[in-house]
Amino acid sequence: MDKSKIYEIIEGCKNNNRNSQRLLFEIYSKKMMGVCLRYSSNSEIARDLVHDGFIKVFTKFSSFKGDSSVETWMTRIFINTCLSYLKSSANKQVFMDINENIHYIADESNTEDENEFTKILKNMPVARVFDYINKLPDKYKVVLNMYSVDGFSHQQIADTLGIQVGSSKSRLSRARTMLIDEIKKSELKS
Amino acid sequence: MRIDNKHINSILKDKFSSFEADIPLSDWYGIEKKLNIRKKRIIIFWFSVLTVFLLVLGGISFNYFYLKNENSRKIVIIDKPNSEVKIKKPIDKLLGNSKQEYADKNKFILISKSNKPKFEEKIVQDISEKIFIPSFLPIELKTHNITNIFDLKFEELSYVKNLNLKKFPNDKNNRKNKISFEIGLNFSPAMGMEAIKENKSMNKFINRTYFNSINGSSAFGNGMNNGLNAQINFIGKFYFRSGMYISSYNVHHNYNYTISEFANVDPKYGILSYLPTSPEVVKHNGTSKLEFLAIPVSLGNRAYIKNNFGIESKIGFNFSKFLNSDGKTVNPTYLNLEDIDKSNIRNWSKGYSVSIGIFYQSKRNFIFTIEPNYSSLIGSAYSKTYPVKNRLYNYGLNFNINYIINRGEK
Repeated sequence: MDKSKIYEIIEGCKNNNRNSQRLLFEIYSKKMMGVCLRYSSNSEIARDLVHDGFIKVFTKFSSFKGDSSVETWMTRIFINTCLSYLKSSANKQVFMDINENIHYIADESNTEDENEFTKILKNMPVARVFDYINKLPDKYKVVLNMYSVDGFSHQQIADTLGIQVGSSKSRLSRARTMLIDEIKKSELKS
Repeated sequence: MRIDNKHINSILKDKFSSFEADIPLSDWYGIEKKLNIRKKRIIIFWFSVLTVFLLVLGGISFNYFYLKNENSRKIVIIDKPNSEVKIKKPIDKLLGNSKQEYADKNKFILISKSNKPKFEEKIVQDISEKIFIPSFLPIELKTHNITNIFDLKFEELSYVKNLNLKKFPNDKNNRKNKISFEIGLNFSPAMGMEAIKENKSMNKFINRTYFNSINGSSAFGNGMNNGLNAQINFIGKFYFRSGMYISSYNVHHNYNYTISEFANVDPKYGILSYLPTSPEVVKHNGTSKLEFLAIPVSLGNRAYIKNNFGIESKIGFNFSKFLNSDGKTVNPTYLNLEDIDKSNIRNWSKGYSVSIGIFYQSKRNFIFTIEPNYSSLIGSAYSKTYPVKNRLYNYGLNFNINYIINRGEK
């Protein structure tokens, strides 16, 4: 879609125009559903989060200044919506900072392993990678998503989740190790 | 050797940069409905702000244009015929007007506490000696028993107050006499609406296509608040009103949707999954009705613009006892159309109403009021265990006729 059309839709959304809002939904709903699925792991909950996220997007559209792309701005809003959901749900461990002293898990892989692993990961369909990440406990999965996929810094993760920077690093390290182990276990064997 | 973390990050980032998942485009209708509800809320909010603003503006304007109006008739209240009267000089500038015009606008009325006619001449004489009154100004003497002071029209009283002349009597007996009573009938035809939203504590029981199914099905219905009221007036212009009203909220529905999934429900955990089922089209055109017995408590104000006419505003709170229901509704879990289940309605609901309008007071002690009115239940009419909340509200006109039983006279 050309830039002028996107610009037109953005202006329409700022003016609370329903047609523009609908077009924005049609363009970005699948992408945002992907974001919500990564954080919630459940398609029904993800649909609800997409619903809530778009309401927030449309009601806050006047605050969109165009400093970043509309997709980046929306992704941040959807991530915050997902985190708010996780905070309000029974699973609050994501936001707890208990007994998480900084400890980096030493990886004992060798170069051969590394090459083979990255090769497998590169060639693996995204849906399969998603399945592996999805199996991680929420508190690791959220940090992995925020850091590795969505580009948050550890400081930003710590501020957003209300945990220490060390805990964020520790969780990321643990998440990677668990992911690698799981993939190795399943893929290398097969 | 460690696996290069940066490498993994870049692979993950790259892989998920175009990660998408299917979502039915029909989900848009749920969002659109929510945005429309929000828009209505914003309208109601600004309507309330506007009402308050108009009330304040009306109050200020009233004070400015009527209480300070130099053209009001001038009143002097005298406690005793022979007492020294300390009043300000009346306006003695002609301001370029003709004498007659000035005289018409500045007529003096002297009101004596005494009701003995023989003092009248003395009073006029006393007053004339102590203040300057241009000879062409007519002097009208009224003798009043001071306890009847509240028979005086508002503009007269207000002028006295404005000139800081004799204060109104403030002893116990007179304070008691400021209170008066009214009884009346109320009739409020209205447009009925309902706002439906999820009950967050029970939202696991809401079918994912429920809001899409009912979207656009609700149209203006009608409502009614009819009943008797009793009122106690104080300080001349404020009142408390209570009574008993029958309130009905009728909402028209035009359902047209298809059930294509069957919800697999666990009574404790809600909807677990959706099973495909043969499509069933639901079409229904009808009105659902909820009826309540409302016991209101209202605080109101009557601001007189003229002797028998003014602006009336009122804010009220009520307890509403559920009486009856009729019509059909969509089950939020299974989407089937069913009769409204009375057991799902709260036995008692709370509500509020706001109105502002005009009133006319007849010589025979009747007060007629007509005022735009907004009334709403506070919270949902459904019980806490029902998956959705429905807030019923009416926009309408309030017609009221009251009879003043006593005017605070001895």
